Amino acid sequence: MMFAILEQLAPLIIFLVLLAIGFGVGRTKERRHLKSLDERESQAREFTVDSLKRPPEGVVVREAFLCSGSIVIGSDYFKSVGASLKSLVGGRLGTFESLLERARREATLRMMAQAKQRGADMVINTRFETSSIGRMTGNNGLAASEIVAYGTALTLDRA
Amino acid sequence: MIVTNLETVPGKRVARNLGLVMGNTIRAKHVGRDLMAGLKNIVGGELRGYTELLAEARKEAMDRMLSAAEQLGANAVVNVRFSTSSVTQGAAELFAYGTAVTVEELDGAEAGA
Repeated sequence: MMFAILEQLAPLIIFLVLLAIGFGVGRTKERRHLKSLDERESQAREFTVDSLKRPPEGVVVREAFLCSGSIVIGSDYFKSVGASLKSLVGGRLGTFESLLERARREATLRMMAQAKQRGADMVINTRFETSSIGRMTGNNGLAASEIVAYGTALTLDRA
Repeated sequence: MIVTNLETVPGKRVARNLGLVMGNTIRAKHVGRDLMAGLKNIVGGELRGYTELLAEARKEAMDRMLSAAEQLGANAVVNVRFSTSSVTQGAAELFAYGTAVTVEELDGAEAGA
């Protein structure tokens, strides 16, 4: 009798467990990631990254090269379920906003790291590209996005 | 080979425009990676396998673009752009394009200006 009820409830239990894991682990990871982003961004504050097409007036450029950074970020189970519910009524999907914002910041930092590693002093003309890999909502299929940040790294001659 | 996504190469002058060059590659993800990524989708976060796969593929697209530029006798590719699109379920096309040019050093007078 007990067993029969349990068997009936099994899918629901699995669903709830996944939801709880997604919520718990996903939230912890997100918080940790945001903290690490904040730290690395404050360390890199003097390094100029902009989206202008030209180097600033008065600098002498020694070398220019392309640099890029990318990340594929996936949504957690809780966010995916939440989003598919939310998309019934429409409106902002705040959970995905923060997901993509985090990914974009991470991609920028990776791009900067690559530029720095090759001795650059600044990065100009930064562009972003976003593409979704699989679906962002729904329970089957993958919910992930790739973000690429790329720009031109410059090494400057200090006169 | 100098590569930038600007319209010129800073500190150099574009001598000759050799036209559009492009390179593409289509990659499918393999089942093992897909399975891992599916599990990862429960907890969220970065899917490192895919990050590497796509970065590698984008590099290949770039390399093809650069060898096309080399064949034209270019020494730089400017205004490089990337584009990604999914072709079929589980496969993505990475595409890189730019303009092949030859660049020269500025002479002293111009460099000062």
